[in-house]
Amino acid sequence: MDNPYIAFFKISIKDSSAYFKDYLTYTIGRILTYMLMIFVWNIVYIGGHLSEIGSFSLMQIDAYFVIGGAIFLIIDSKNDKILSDDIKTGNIAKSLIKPVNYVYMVFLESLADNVLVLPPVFITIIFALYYLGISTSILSIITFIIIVLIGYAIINVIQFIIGSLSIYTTSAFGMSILLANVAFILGGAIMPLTFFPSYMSNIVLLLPFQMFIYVPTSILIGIIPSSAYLYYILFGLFWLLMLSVLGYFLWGHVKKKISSAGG
Amino acid sequence: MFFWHNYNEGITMDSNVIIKVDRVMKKYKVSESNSKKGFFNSFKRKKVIKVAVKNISLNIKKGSIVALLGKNGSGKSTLIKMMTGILYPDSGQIIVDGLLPYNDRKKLALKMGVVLGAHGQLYWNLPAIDTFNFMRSMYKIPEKEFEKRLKLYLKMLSLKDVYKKPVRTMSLGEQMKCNFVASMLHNPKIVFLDEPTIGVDLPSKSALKEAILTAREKLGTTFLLTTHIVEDIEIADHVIVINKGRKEFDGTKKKLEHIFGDNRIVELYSTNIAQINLMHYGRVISKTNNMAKLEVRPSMLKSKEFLKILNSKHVFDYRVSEPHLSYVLSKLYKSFDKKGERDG
Repeated sequence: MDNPYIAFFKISIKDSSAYFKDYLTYTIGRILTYMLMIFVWNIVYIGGHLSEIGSFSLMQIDAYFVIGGAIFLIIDSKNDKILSDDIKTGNIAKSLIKPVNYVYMVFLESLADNVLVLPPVFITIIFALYYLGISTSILSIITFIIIVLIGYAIINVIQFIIGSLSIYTTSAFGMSILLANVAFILGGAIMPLTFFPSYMSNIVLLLPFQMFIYVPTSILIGIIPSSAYLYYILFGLFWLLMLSVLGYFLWGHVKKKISSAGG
Repeated sequence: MFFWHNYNEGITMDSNVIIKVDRVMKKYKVSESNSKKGFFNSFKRKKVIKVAVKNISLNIKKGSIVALLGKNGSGKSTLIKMMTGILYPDSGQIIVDGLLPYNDRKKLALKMGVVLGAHGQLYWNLPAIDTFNFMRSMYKIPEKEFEKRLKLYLKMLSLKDVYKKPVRTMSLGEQMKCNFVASMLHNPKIVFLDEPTIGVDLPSKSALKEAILTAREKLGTTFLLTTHIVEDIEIADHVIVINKGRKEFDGTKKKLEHIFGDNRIVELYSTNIAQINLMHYGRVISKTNNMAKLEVRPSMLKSKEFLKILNSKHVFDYRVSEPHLSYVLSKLYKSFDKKGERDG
């Protein structure tokens, strides 16, 4: 007999696959954005006759954007939207009548969407490493996976906090867009964080956003040395714990304020 | 009578009672738009506290079918949502089968079934059978039991040709029936039906009512339904009417008819309707050249004056009947409106 959460995860994957064409279009849009990044940085390197910028060679910067783009597809979660829509439309009622934890259901529904993009993401990363001739170690691959998982958990918790806040703001749309842009820029999607001016990178490297793209990608392509792996794992876990505590208390308050549609 | 005690909350309940609501209040903060003219005024919103449920107390007996009635916005759905653990009451207490819904939501969910009219449980893009299978896993229903119950409900509600189609291709009535099945598969002790017959055709309504009566008879299931449709109330053995968050009536259908509908309806067929001073005898409901429909006090039916009219040679037929429940309810709701106008 199935576990209720596994059963929910299975049916969510089935439900999400109904929107697969929509997903495909969205993914193509993302790929085009990253192809543009690669072209721009190639022009900068080749036009400026530069062999290296901030310890990144041209080959590494190409790998950075291909791998970073692939990771962004996984960590691009939607639980802020799920939660905000549930609160706004009163649909939260149909989840709260089930004998399961609502918060877990939100995370699983969001995960079901991300699972669908896993195969193309793996293929892209393997292709980037092989085609661009990036040598990496087993330790780097394992640490990369751990950091991606921590980054995924962090963005989910941040999105959950934003979704919860929609009880006070009616809609989380504005904050979701803000988070997406902050995660895109400060996560290292436009450029590696070490390219920022030092006063800015000193601040950005203290924030959890670097765990989304910059840290995992730099680990895989050999920019971050293996001696720093443990630091980044602990750094990510610290932020995950802090944000989870905040999310836990916020949700405790929000669930008492929920007023579903109708009356 | 046997009593049992809820040690967690110190509440004593009659063993026949499955739901006890004790002085429950629920308030909402809502934004109201500004009525002042002007561009900037249209953006201003006033925060207003709305009391959705005011100090309601009620008991629901095991195995009963209770209709919760009230106009739109009267607080019915809020009350049901508090009973199911979706909403927290601001004050007061609710106990459902020995549990506090807002503290023991998951435990209670195993014992209850809920059909929320506007928020179906079915997955829109998937066939209903996928939702049913999900329910089987969620409520840990043994495979054989699941097959047996599903077969029974599919037959009872004529869903055999429908349940494998994607929900989005189903009619509203089919969706409602499938939602009902999804909420019944785990044999819940209590079922909350919030407007379960919205958009449902007559045969489907009858099938749903039949299924409710069968579940009550065979499993002893308690049903609490909110509805605006008078025919749905026919199966209820208890009626609760709420208005603006207050309980206005709590009793049997007969009692409701007696209190709010003790007047009688007289249909009078005469060759000379125009010459009878109808308003002298009661309230004229409708009138044509040779027929009049009157609402009269029971005492009027015994008065010599009125009996003389009924037996006059111009009156060739007459019929006296009890008012229909829909008439009783519309009269009741109108009295709420008048009371509201008086109270300002």
